[in-house]
Amino acid sequence: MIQKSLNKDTLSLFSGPDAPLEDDMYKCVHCGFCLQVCPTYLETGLETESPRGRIALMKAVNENRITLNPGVYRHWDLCIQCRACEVACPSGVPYGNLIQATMSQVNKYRKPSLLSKILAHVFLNTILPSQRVLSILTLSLRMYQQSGIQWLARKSGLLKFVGLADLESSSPRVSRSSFKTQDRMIPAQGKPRAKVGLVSGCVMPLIHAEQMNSMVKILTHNGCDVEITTGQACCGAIHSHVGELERSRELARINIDIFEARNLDAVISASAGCGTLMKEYGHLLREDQSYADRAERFSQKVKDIHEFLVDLPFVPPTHQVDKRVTYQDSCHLANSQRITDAPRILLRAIPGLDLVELPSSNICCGAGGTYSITERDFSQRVLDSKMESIASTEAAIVATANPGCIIQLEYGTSRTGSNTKILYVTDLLYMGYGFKADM
Amino acid sequence: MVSLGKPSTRRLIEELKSVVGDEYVIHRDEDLLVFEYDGSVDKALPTAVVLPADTNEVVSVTKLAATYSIPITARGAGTGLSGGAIANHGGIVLALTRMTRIIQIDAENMTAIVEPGVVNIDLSTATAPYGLYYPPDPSSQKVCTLGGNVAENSGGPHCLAYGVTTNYVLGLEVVLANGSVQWFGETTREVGGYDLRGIMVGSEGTLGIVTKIAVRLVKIPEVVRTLLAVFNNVEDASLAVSDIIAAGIVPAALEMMDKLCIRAAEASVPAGYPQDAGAILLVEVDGLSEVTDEQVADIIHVCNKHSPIEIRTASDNIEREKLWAGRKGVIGALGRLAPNYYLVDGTVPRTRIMDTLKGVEKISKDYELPIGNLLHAGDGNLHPLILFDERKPGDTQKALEAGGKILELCIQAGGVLSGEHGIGMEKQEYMPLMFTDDDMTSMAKLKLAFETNDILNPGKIFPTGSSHVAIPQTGAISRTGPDAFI
Amino acid sequence: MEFEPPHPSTNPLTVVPDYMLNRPVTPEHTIHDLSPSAVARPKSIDELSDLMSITNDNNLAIAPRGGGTQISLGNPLRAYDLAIETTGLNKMVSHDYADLTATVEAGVTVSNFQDTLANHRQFLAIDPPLPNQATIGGALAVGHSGPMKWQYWNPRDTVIGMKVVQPNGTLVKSGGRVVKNVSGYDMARLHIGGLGTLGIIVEVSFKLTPKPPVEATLIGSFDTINESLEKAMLIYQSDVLPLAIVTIDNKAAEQMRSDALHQSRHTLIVKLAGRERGLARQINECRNLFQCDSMNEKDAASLWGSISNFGYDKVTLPTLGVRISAPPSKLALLSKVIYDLSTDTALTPALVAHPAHGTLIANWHLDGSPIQSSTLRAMIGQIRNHTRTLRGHTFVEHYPIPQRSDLDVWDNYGGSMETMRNLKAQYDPRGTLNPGRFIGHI
Repeated sequence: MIQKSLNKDTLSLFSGPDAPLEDDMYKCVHCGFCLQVCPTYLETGLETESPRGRIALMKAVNENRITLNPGVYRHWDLCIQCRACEVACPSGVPYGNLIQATMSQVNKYRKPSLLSKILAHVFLNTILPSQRVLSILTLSLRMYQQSGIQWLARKSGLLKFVGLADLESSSPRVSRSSFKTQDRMIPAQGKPRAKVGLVSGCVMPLIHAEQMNSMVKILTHNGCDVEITTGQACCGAIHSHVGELERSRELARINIDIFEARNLDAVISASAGCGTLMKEYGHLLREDQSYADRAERFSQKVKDIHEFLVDLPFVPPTHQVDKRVTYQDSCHLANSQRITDAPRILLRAIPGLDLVELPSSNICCGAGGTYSITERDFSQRVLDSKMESIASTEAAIVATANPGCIIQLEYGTSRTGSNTKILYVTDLLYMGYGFKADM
Repeated sequence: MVSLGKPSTRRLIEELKSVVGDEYVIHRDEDLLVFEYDGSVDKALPTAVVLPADTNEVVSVTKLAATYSIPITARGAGTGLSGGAIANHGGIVLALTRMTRIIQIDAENMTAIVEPGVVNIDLSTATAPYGLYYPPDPSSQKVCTLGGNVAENSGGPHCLAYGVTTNYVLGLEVVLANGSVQWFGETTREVGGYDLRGIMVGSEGTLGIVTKIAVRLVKIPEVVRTLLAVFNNVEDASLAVSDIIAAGIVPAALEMMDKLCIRAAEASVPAGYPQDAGAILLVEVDGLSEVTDEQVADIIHVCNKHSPIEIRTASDNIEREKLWAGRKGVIGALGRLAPNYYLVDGTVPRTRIMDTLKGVEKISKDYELPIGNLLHAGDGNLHPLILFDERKPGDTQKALEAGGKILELCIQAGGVLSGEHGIGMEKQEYMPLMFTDDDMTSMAKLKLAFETNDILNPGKIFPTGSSHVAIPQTGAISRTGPDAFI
Repeated sequence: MEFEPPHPSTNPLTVVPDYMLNRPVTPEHTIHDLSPSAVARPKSIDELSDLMSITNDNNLAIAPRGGGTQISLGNPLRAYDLAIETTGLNKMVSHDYADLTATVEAGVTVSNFQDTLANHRQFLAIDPPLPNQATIGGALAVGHSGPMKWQYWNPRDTVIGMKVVQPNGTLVKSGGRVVKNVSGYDMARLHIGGLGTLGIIVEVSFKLTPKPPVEATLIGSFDTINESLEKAMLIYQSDVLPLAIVTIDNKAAEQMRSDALHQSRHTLIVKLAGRERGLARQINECRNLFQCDSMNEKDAASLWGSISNFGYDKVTLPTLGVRISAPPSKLALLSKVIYDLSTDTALTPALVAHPAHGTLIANWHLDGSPIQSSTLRAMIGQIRNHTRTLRGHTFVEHYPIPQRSDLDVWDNYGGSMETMRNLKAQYDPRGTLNPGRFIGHI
């Protein structure tokens, strides 16, 4: 078996600083070891919807064998970017970098419909980066859900009529409480062991405010001074995901500026997706002379909350939580950050908690950032398979580590009418510390 | 290369769609691109890719292929290393990845019947609750399909004690080139008449398309003990291998890595191998706890005679995984040392491992290409990895030639061309090294007994080009008819 | 494709050089009432090659013969000009004991081969009947094995390379002397169990097994065959890994005339092997599963010999015998079927089962009792129907000679007869090798 590439005779359709790197592409020796961890391959059995196939198409574009037409980038669009293939790859192909770079190239050629262009622009450039706009939007969503209009709208078939029924049912439930994002420091209980900053992110404080508050309490309980900083921007993960790398970089610079000033021991991310990109700021800004080194130093400080607590080490929980729980690996945590043990260690430490392994917990749930919106049908196929394996565990609770996964799995329970609760790992730890009896 | 012409191709595609449904016929140029390769070096574009759901659909597709006189190449996960799943004469690639049902697990009689698209490891996962598993474990076992395993007669690290695919296949449902469906064997241990199931295994998709597979299962061993022994050089390690076998111990697995592989593995998946190690043996025994304890002690005793640097043992799964981690990741890790590698597969008698490795070292010097050696040492199965850089002019050719030299070396040592990857497109030109014209003509007759139109995976196994041997090549048989060989 | 009988037989004496026809024709060369015109015993593979190119050119019908222990197998020969004995090919080519492999010519007897291997505490894991007479080539051509097949599987699983002289005299080889090999088609499979109908096996390379340090044989007896089969299944499914599990019914015990067997009861015998501590534990586990005694080494060896030879030695050679292959869990049911059918026909069967392997052997001694051939045919038909519904098949090993042409002794081709005919047409287009004797009378 020989690994082989072709020499390019003419200029590739891939161009510019964000073109996928040829060296990365040709690391793939098409052994196929990635196939059985790829959610889209598992759903279809089609090589075209596999990591190996997607890289083959990148090579083909790179070698000018095919053009960048919709028939080609359709297959890249369908990639959830869970990066499970990176874990399976024996040759160390950095698939995440490749697909993001490829998507940025596609964006140059893609002729999107006007509507989707507007929607994407509004969502990515206005709503997500601004916590203010998001707050307003969330408030409206909260009013909508709590005021009874939701019930009326569902009942009347109005939503179905406008084709939004599905989207509506998958929109997350919004927190009743709130998480304050203005500058403040919540002191450690007892002797401080570390000074940490908390990434408040864009979505979590709004839809998962209670859980954020719990995380702060867990950190202080474990002897951390917790700094909350105002002016944080979205981490930029969702922008990277769809190939909007320049916008990601702008947001990264804002975050680096903000956290750098605080002189922290660690920057804690409670969202696996945010943590992943922030750990990659060094790579993202590698060409930016004034930020490259700072970004690298910043990335070193970023810690996932589970990783951080286990390394600390955490104060053992003492309260019984008599529940059968299973754990769904968040792709960004397991595949990108390679953290699979820490959440399980935390769960196992909780007295009374019965942790059962979820078959194929390394396979994505289909959330994938905006994937659940842009590739709705496929996302649901992947989700349905996930819900089946969840049901097989007979667990009362599914714990996971990322807001996107929580939203998606909650949508899954509503689709299947399941009583299974979807919680953050930290929610269960919070109960284990006796701060709350039940969720 | 078979060329149908545009109108016929269009008609064929429509007919295929009516058999399996629109979604499961792939024919657009950019989509066909991802079916031009498998895990090997070669590439060729098919005319169409069809994904049948069941035996009936396979029959219909086969009949269409016969009508249009175009080849069919069956494909599983496309992880093969000798080009078996590549449509090198064009035509239909029949991807069996949708046929993934485990039809029956008969725990009482320790057998199972599966469809060809079932992934190797999935069968063992499904049978584990009954205390049973399916032993052949190619290193791609998490991905490769049982249908592909049957076609290639796949082995794996544990085939030393447990045997290869052919030792586990009880029966096969096969669709022949003329569309007839036959069972070769069934779930019983003995068969009447010619051993067609045995003939099918390892026939690389050239005789028929397997649509159901009956296999026997074995009991999961009570304990598994793993031992890692580090030596100063491959000579010491090779002697230890011979001595272990000569001592009457047949371990479940007996693997070796040389210095280059150790360095590469350590750089990628640090398993704590000593950096000055010249060779590593990984030995696994399984069975009753009383027996494995003694075997481990015996193996340590044998290894100690050959000045080991270090010996480690593992008895739980986590430690075991650690010892195996370096071995399992080594091929990918070598990929990090050089942009390209050529993975050679040959087998020699176990006692000739040391001589052969010396020869490989000389070839490495002669061709000025680094070669790492990874061995299923207990089987005498060598996997030299020739590192090269295709961007250097002439390097690829050099690597291929060095590979050929290594195979010649294996044959001279009383060995064979392929231990577990198959002949396919990769080694067909080397067949005359091992076989006489009469030998190959005899194999050609086997092909002719199954089909005379050369529809099924043509252009594989037998050498192409100017050979004077009357062997199946595209069209040749249909022109001359079977009488040519009588 | 239908096979016409070979052209009007030439007398082999006129076309084969005299020096080749170096053996007298004796009664033991008779197969199913047919006698050959001449007998050849080639002294080398080259001589066999030359001989077969002559027989092929002259359309002579030949029947290869090893030790002659299973010479009565198969359907009636359509023609029989020349018997070819392989016992002249009797070289031990090599025993590469450090490689755990050996290469041997096909005419070497199984016992001689095993004796050579024993010098290095190794053995070939096949145990055909009458090993003192049976040749390696003959044992493989028949393809069945004795009790040890449970642990070591079928004879075909021990073969790593083979040389065959084809009907036209060309010598071809496949495989090699290494234990792992996927270079080209696995051609040896055509000839193992092929009853010498596609070529004559002349040399074989085997993978060997180290002799276990210690062995033990456990024996127990039961009131009914069902009980002994039930216990056998328990052992089969337990942690114990015996070399062999065999049940013998009272009638078979009587025929074997072994002192070790209780002649009015049904016996279960288990052979265990390994290292001492492991063996001790296996013995204990077996004792927990059935009430049994340990046999001494000498008696055990003699008993295992009788079991291997059952149906083939002088004392147990039956008039009628079937060999059923079925899922292990179905053997009890099939035993009942055979007893019931035998009662209907006032015949008494003798049963030996290898439960873990799913093999059931039933033999009848008709001893001059006036049984109509239609009755026999009907009984075989019924046994076949029953086994087929249980996804098994019935091979008729022994059948009265006058009624031989009544039936095909092979069964249940799974629709593959066409492929088998094609194979015969490719390799033996003139139908010179064992014409008519194999499955489907090919």
